[in-house]
Amino acid sequence: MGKYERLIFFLLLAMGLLPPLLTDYWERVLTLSLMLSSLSLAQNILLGYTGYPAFGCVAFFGIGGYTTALLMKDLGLPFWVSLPIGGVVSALFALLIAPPLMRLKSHYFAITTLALQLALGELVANLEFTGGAQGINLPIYVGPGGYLIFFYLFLLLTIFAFLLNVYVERSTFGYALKAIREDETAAETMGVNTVLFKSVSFSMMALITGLSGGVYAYWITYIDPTSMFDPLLSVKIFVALLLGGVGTVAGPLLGAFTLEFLSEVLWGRFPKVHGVVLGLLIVLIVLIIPRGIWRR
Amino acid sequence: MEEMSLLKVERVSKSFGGNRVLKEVSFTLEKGEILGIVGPNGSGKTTLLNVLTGIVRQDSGSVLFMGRRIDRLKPHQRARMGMGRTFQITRLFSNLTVLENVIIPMHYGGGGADERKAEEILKMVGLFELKDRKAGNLSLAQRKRLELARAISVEPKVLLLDEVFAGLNPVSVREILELLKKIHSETGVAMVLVEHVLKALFQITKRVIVLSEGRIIYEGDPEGMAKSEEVVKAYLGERYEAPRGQRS
Repeated sequence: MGKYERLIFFLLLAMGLLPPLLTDYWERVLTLSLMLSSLSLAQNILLGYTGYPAFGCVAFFGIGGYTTALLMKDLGLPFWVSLPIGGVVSALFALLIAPPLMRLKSHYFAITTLALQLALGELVANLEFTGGAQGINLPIYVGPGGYLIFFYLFLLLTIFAFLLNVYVERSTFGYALKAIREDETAAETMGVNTVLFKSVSFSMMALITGLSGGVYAYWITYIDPTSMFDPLLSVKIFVALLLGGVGTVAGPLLGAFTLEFLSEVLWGRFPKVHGVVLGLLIVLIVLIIPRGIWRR
Repeated sequence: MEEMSLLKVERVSKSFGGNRVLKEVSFTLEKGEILGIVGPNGSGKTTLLNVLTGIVRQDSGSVLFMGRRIDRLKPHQRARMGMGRTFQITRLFSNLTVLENVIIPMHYGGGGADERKAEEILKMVGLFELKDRKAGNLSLAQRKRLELARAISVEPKVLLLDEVFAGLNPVSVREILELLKKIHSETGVAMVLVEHVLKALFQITKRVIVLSEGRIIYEGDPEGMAKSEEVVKAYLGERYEAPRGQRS
């Protein structure tokens, strides 16, 4: 790890000491920021290092969330068992669909993943065992730590995602991904098994995103297709990533926290034009800091 | 027993839709040989290279590399077997450094990443001083050199070079030519040069193949090429005789 990376790592660890100082409101804002951080860091592996924008990455948020919820509700499995299974199911699903899906590039790939997200949302809304459009109620968490547990879970997930990003940034594995991002045909002719590396990268993104969805499901105790396959969440992940700086380890964190705080402030003061301001923000980012706050 | 050819192309055909780009192309390449492939624009030269490296799969015919059929192998598998290539329009990893551009193929296509060896290759092509610069910031001549460095870093048995002289000024052409000669004498690697700059090509190769509309119309030494009627026709069209009485 480099100097900056170590600093960020310790800052993240230090965040674990914050909760006693926080009001319930700020605890919630920070938890949301951490969730967005984990999601942006996940997407960063795929978009930032591999060059594939999975605009419908929230599909995996839904898969992870629903798998976790169904395992808890229907099979009576404890959360600590259901959550990792949710993550793994999400990652395996990604591994399965990656080879055909990732023949598409750039906006074609982005739109197809979005279609996947919307289609899965519709499917879940129309199946019986998923609770249909009515969704699923989960038991309220009553273990040690109370609701703070979700703050720590998202913090852990963010640290995990951060370390994965650092690994990609510094390893030969990451070199393969970057080579694919720069020029896939050249990478392939230089000996990189592009299908394999793209699939693994896609599935790493799906693992973190799925775990994030699982934690979220238990946190809000009620999930339905609209909240778990929400296209607005996809937009938020991409805005956070663009704002912070794509393809850097610090960018996604910076972007996620800035966006979430900004969003809270705007939401409180201008509830009616909140969406407009967010849209303006995207335009401004593209015009003024196209490479994000943290430049590559 | 007859010695096995390094590369053997047998009756390879390829169509894109109704357009037959390669028509039963056959040739061989021996170990250490340098072969030139020339032909007018659109004659199928780059497609042939793409078939050899596996980027495009042929419709019929076969490609043997070191006696093994490689038709079903993916490009990265062929690279690992010892095929290095450069592209007509350079395809560098632009946001990565010059050194990283060489390290990646070494790790995935060659015998393993070795920074010292990568630096030696960069010294050989004259890019060592620029090793920490981003590849996207190089000039065209430097980009061509880096493509060459990247291709030889996998310790190939054959180098497939797609218009390596294109777009370069005479000085750079001479420099790249010298570099190719040096690479050939030091490593003994076989080379296939797809080329338009015939003057440079003829200084390095003793055998050329001429492609026209996907067919091989000439195979032999460079001297005979200019005398071949078929070749002249492919480049300049049919001989035109003005009708009697209209001659001035």
